[in-house]
Amino acid sequence: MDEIFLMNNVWIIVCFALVLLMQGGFILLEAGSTRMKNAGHIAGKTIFTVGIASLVFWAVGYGFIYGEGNAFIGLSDFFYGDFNSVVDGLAGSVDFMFQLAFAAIALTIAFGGFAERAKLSAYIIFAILFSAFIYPVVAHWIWGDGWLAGLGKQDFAGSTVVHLTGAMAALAATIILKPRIGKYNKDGSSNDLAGHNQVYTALGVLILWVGWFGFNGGSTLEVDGAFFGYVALTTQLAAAAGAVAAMLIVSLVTGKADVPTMLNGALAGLVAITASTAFVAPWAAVIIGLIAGFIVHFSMVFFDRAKIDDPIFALSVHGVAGIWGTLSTGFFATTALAEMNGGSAGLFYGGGFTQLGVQFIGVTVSGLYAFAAAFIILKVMDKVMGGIRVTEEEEIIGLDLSEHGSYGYPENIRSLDEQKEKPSA
Amino acid sequence: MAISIIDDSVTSYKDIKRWKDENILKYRFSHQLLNEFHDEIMCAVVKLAVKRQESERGKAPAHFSFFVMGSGGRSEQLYLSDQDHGIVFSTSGNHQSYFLELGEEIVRGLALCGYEKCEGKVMSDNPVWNRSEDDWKRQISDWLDEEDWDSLRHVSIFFDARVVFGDPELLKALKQHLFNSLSANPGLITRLTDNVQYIKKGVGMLGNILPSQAGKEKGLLDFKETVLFPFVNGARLLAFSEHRLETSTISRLQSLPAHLQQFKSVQPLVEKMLNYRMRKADLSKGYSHIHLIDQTELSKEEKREIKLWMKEGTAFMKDVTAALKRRHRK
Repeated sequence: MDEIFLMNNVWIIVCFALVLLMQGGFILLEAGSTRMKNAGHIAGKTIFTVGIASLVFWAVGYGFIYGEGNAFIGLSDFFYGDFNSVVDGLAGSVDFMFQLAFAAIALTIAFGGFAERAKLSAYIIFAILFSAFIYPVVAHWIWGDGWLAGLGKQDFAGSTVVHLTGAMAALAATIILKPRIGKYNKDGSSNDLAGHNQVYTALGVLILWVGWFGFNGGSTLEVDGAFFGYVALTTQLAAAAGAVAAMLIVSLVTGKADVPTMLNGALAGLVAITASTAFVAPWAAVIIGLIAGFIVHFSMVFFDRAKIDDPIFALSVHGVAGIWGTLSTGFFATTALAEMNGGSAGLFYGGGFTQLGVQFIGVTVSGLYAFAAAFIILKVMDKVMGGIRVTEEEEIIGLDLSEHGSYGYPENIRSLDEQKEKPSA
Repeated sequence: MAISIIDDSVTSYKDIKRWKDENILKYRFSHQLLNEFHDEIMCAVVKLAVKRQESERGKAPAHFSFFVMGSGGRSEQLYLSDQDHGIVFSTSGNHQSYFLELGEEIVRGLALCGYEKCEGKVMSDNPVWNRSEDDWKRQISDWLDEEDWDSLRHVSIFFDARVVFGDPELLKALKQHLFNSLSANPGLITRLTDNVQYIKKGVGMLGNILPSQAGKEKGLLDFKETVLFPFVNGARLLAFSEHRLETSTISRLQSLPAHLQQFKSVQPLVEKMLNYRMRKADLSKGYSHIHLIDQTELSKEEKREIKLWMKEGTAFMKDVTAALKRRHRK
């Protein structure tokens, strides 16, 4: 067997495992960023919905993205099971597994907007519908044989496809679900419903950061030329710059070196470089990360003031940074790297506004589609299911107990009887 | 059949307890008589407590009434019951310390007569539930202004209040104050509706009854929370909306105007459920188990009927919620 073929496949299956392990990062990030009474729920639902996403991706998701179809959607390769096909120099099954892990990440990002108040049944139904009708459509447009791919849209590893799509669904969810109890006061002021474990959050970010080398590095889809090393370099620089910039800006603006903001800065740097990692010079990666770190802080403040309760900051980290990352290639893509990886050079490399325009159209239409589709689906679910939010009493008790019947931390939390002072006796 | 009347000359809580134990089983076939009997016992305890307080601290310095809440307020107690009560006294001078002492004596007396203390401290030895009329009105307004889960739950608890000793007009004035506030801010009914949307799941997706899974209650079904509460909460919401003073679920449903016939019509069903629960109540394990039913002892027909009741309860609550939200949109 061809050694390069074998190594390509080994590399991508390792990257699949790294991207799948990012779910562990999300578990820690989300559980740490939310309250103790919901910790078991947040952790458990992540594993469960990865299960749903995998089954749906196998049944229809992969076919909608990569099947033969039209500019809007693929329509073949459902219930994927080829053992001898080769796609882009990879065994079909290896490519399938790698793509599946991305679909599951997009779903987990979307669920950031559900945190601490959605019914478990809403997670289940939305997991199916998002994995079938939202993510695959955008992925087909950009990574499949879709119309944005035809325009030369640059999105190397998914700033738009994965992060923005997930974030726009999270935005629709958080608007429909409305803020958590206690987030906003009657006078409109907001309260900080602090997460219960910053150590978890920090470890979650680290796991995500490491996993990102599979996410971006694996998106080279081959080891030939060892270009993944360059991708890893720009990825590392942007994440580092994001963390530094966010810590700097939050310290300057508020006088406090806020840890969650700094952690979000690192993630924003990673999200932003995801689109441009293979297209930009190292210095540009630093600029992209720095800007991502700055805007994530202002975005967090903006959503808070707009009374859009985003418990895990999915809208800022994956949405706003995802938009910035997608546009950044329109500015910073170098001529040589664009030639090598597709599309045209950016504005600062003599490409004019062409690539920037494509990036702008891509991010706008993809974002609008993901938001509108998620909003319609969730509105219908809200109507049909008699609401997608748990009752006030369940939210106060916490989803660990109300949705799952046991606490994530049984020894550290008051019993139900102690919590409910006196329900109508 | 009328209930036996306790002799006014009793001098100790022990006597009342003995009399209660000797007579309570007579009423095991009638939900209504059993609750009248509880009223008689509680009234006797309060009378004795008042007598003792008068001998220590002199006559009550103000007009007052003692009211019960929870299942007592709704006249839905079983053989064993816990304490949920409060006091309102007319506003003239600062007399709270006198009435709090009286409250302590009542709590002690009721406990000696077999009424367990309320874990949530909804009792007249707690200053929250023992106030002058003006203070009570302020408290009710504050709860409604606060509009959060706890404060609205307090309003619901208070709304089940029923006087068993003293002047009923004092409590009536408080409820009138509550109705006035609800009229001034109709959106509050919607918030009160949100407050009681939780229904403990009693039946699974495959139609299986869902008892507790662990602990002392393993295998037991909480009949009160899974079957009765949707009707209790729904009827209370309708009473809020219609400004009705009745407190029992049955009388609340009966008192509804004709255009709410849809809701009125569940009254015989609620009566049937209350009587069924009384027949099934297991006295052997104390108050904590009084509302629990061992599902392994249920016949196929009983299981079918209980599941039907749960389904009807969920539908009732859903319909009440929709109707009230339509009517009291902010």
